[in-house]
Amino acid sequence: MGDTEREADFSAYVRARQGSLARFAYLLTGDPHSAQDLLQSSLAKVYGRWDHISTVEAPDAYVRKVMVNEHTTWWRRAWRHRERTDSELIRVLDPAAAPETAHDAELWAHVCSLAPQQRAAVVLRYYEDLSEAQTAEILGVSVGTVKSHTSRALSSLRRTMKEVTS
Amino acid sequence: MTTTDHENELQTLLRQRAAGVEVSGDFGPVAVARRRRDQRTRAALAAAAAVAVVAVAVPVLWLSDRDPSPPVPALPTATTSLPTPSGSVRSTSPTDLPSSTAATVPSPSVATRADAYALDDTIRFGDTVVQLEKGTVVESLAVLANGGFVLQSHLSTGSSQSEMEILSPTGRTVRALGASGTYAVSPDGTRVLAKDGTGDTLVVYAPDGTVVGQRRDAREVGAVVRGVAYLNGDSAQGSLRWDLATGDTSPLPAHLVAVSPDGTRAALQWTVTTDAQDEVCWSVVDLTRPRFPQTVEKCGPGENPTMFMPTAFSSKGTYLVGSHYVDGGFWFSAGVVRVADGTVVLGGTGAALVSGWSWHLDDDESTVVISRNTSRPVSPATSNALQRCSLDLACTDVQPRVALRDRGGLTEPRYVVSR
Repeated sequence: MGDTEREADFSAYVRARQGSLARFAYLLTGDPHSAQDLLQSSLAKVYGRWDHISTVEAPDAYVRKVMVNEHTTWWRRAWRHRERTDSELIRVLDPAAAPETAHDAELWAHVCSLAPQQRAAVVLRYYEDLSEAQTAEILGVSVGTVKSHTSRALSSLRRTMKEVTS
Repeated sequence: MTTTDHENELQTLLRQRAAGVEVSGDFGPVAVARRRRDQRTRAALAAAAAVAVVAVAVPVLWLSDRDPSPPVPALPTATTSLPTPSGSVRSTSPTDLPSSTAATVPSPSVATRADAYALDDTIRFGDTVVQLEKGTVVESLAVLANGGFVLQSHLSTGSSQSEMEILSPTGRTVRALGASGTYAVSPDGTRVLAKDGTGDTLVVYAPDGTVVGQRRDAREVGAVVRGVAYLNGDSAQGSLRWDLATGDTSPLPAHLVAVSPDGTRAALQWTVTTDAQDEVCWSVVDLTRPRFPQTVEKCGPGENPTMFMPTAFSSKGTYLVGSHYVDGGFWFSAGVVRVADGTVVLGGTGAALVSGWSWHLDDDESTVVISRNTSRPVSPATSNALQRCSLDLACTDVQPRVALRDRGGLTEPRYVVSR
């Protein structure tokens, strides 16, 4: 694939999928600036291997894997200097439905406090609706580890919500 | 509540949150540009400290045999532009010097690594301004032995694809080297090793654009030193020593990224893949002994916590110049380490961070010239200056701070330091 053809092919893919990938990035990071940074850096890496990735049946799975790895890497390095740009490619609007309750806010805060792998497991299982096996494939861990991640996340969620209620 | 209730509640919350996410631009071009920038910076930093100061006393600007114009005085004169027979729109023009000064002190001026830099679409050295094509965004710049340049750039409008070319001392294109590629310049500025991004051919050029050697090879640009080109190969290929005079080749250790100016040592840099894909290693090997023994190695978070990536030796071989790793940013973290023991002498994290875009260590091995990110905080990057810094980070602005423009989420520097 020549440079021009590669760029055109990649750009077409990104245009078609960027909405979905941006939502995934936001759920992983919890804020629009980090989500934008994560998606940009992940897509830059994906573009570097586009000749290979474009030939696989499900590029989305590969891209999500890159995003999860990238996010985990960020989290491991406390000293990372994240770029925040003034231009906003991702914006988060208030939910169109009923106003957010205190309960929802607590729940979201709890999701944001999960460790990256746990959080990625939760997002892949309950937002992306992936199976445990598919989630394990993206996270690069065993199915048992996925079960353990989601189970711990739910247990912790139950504890937190009990505390909030009481 | 049961587990299923919690799962449902969690699912509803995630969907509600995700529903509020809107994308208001196009990530494709930004990601492509970012990828190219990362590649270019790796290449741009290569050999950054190795180009010698040369040709200071050349009395006239020397033009290649592809450039039919006669030699012209290097100092700006009353002429505001030079003829461009090749069709290029580059021109040389006087700077803000009072005309009386220019008229009465016609001392020749030739670019050197010590004084050449780019600002927006110009190359500047001494009192000379070489005007590049309007809208040129300079990505990297190197000065050659004849006072000419290797320029990697793209236009601010249209395709973001970068192009490499050799320019004459007046800024006229004498040779196009290809698109989206990488290059290295020899320490004496007499050879350019380049590989364009579209094929597997490595070419060595003289400053006048003449082809000195050519080789089909999947390896990448490593270095070119003392008549030898060094090609960087992965662990399957290994690197390669290519004698340009005889054409002889011999194998070298994989991941070669720089060679000392005396040709006795090489720096290797590689990544160890982990779950997080974030372990960076580097080493120095002795090229004069059989099996190329390592003299120093720093690998992984314990030994190389700032993930230093060497790209060039300093002019006397005392230091390695490169960058500490910053992921996801639009600026880079300058780094200098001591070759003998791998001690970091410039850059790092926290207060030691030196944020910028391009830099080199001068031939005195004690002064870093850097296109510095002068924003506080460093992100978002909004301000850029050309600075000279000691290794203990006492810095002075040598060119004034300028505001940065944000191009669709991709911040680009306005000053570019010559390699």
